[in-house]
Amino acid sequence: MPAVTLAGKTYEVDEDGFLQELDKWNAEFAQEYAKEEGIEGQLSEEHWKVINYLRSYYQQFGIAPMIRKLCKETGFDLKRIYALFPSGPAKGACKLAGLAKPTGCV
Amino acid sequence: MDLITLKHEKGLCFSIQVRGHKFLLDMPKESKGEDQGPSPADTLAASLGACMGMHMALYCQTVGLPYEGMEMNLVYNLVEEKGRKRIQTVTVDVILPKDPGPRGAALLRAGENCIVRNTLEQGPQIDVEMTAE
Repeated sequence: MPAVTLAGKTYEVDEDGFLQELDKWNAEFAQEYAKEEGIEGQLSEEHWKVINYLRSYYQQFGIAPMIRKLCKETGFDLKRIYALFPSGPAKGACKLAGLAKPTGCV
Repeated sequence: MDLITLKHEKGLCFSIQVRGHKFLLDMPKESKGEDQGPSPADTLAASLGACMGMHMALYCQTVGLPYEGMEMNLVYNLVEEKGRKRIQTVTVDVILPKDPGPRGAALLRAGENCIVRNTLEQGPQIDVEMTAE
């Protein structure tokens, strides 16, 4: 099983880098992993709004929300989501949020 | 109807020629391509967006609404059912240069009645024959 080491801690991930042990997620994981996703500096309030919504939705429903739902609930349009997470809502935001890889990934 | 010629270039990359235009389609590297061009699914989604945009632009021209510089951002996700992958959802954001006001609903309807969308909703006949040189 592949693994990533972030801030001295090792996390098991799948071949696409998605966290396998979902209960091991923490804010530090998201912040450190952000660098790997090309996000520079500290995660902003906007980043956390997306991450927290994804985590909340996933904890309630067991899946990632549809992109339109994510846009409406966060108030960010597609362009803003991609500006915040260059890899996109699935490969970028969901990965940082510690969700399992969304099934609709291209 | 114009002839569209596709030619295998390398790996999964195909060149497409139609009416003097030439472009490449390929798969992303994570899908065993070399990313020399958009994927067929990218192009299909983009075609839908462009077709909708053109119809919206035509409507704007007709009723005198500003549309120059309009932007559309879209994403799609795939689903696999019974071993068959397809595009499940196409999510489109349309950004207009100015609020269309009361004509907004009609403008959206204009975008909904486009060739590509109508084709996707009904599904075309696809007739394939294969030969060897």
